Amino acid sequence: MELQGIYPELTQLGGEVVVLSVDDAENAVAMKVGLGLEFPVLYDTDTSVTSEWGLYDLLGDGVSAPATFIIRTDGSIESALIGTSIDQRPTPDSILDVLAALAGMDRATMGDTSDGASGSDVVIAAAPAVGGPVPDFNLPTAGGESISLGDYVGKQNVVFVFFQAWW
Amino acid sequence: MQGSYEAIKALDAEVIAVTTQDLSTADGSIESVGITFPLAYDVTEAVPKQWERFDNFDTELADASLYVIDRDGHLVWQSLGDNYRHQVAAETVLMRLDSIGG
Repeated sequence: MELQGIYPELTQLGGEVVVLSVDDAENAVAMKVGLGLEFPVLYDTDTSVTSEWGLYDLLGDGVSAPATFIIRTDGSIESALIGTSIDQRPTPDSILDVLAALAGMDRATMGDTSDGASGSDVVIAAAPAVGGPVPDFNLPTAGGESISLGDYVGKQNVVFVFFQAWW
Repeated sequence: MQGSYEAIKALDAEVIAVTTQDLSTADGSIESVGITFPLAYDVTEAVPKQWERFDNFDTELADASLYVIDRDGHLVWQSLGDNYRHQVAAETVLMRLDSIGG
């Protein structure tokens, strides 16, 4: 996968890759392991996410249309490319160029990136700063529901903690 | 945190906790401690890594951290512990919440 090849530079630019597959979990895991992917591979077996994004069966082939989105740290979309065939995707260089522009960095002066920066596991690059917006997440809860920080925007102040069981 | 939960709610705020521990361990905690605030599971560790608060002290755990986020979604105060056990005094949290308006 071409994205794996540019992954070190991509993370150095403050980006992260999240791949969404409509395969089942077994195939998604096989893809991640088989291709040695360092970034998260999510599976959307019930196609709910790809349907919500308007991609599922867009081309009438019973799968998700190939699509690549570059998402800014504030959660808005910088660029989107929805292909009409499986091989219609942005080039790795074009992705890196966009991320460099967003980060205000010059790729030519970055030097060797082959040591593979580990990066974070989500799209937003840096930890939130006091005074700035916080990144959203969506996680399952003990009650079997899901929760997002975004659920509380405009409603309540939030005390957010990283929790350990002995608290 | 559980002990001050009612006081936090009285200021019209919510507590959201994220744990990277597995379901069985965390569930045990819910029963034994009587946690009533929302506890989310992040066994992939993605969220603390995103916040740059994972395994900074070679514990393979999320580092103890507490954030106060206002209703506009902005981070207004944070306490970043230097280990995974660090806790913030309840009075401090309540004072911060009170200062941004309940």
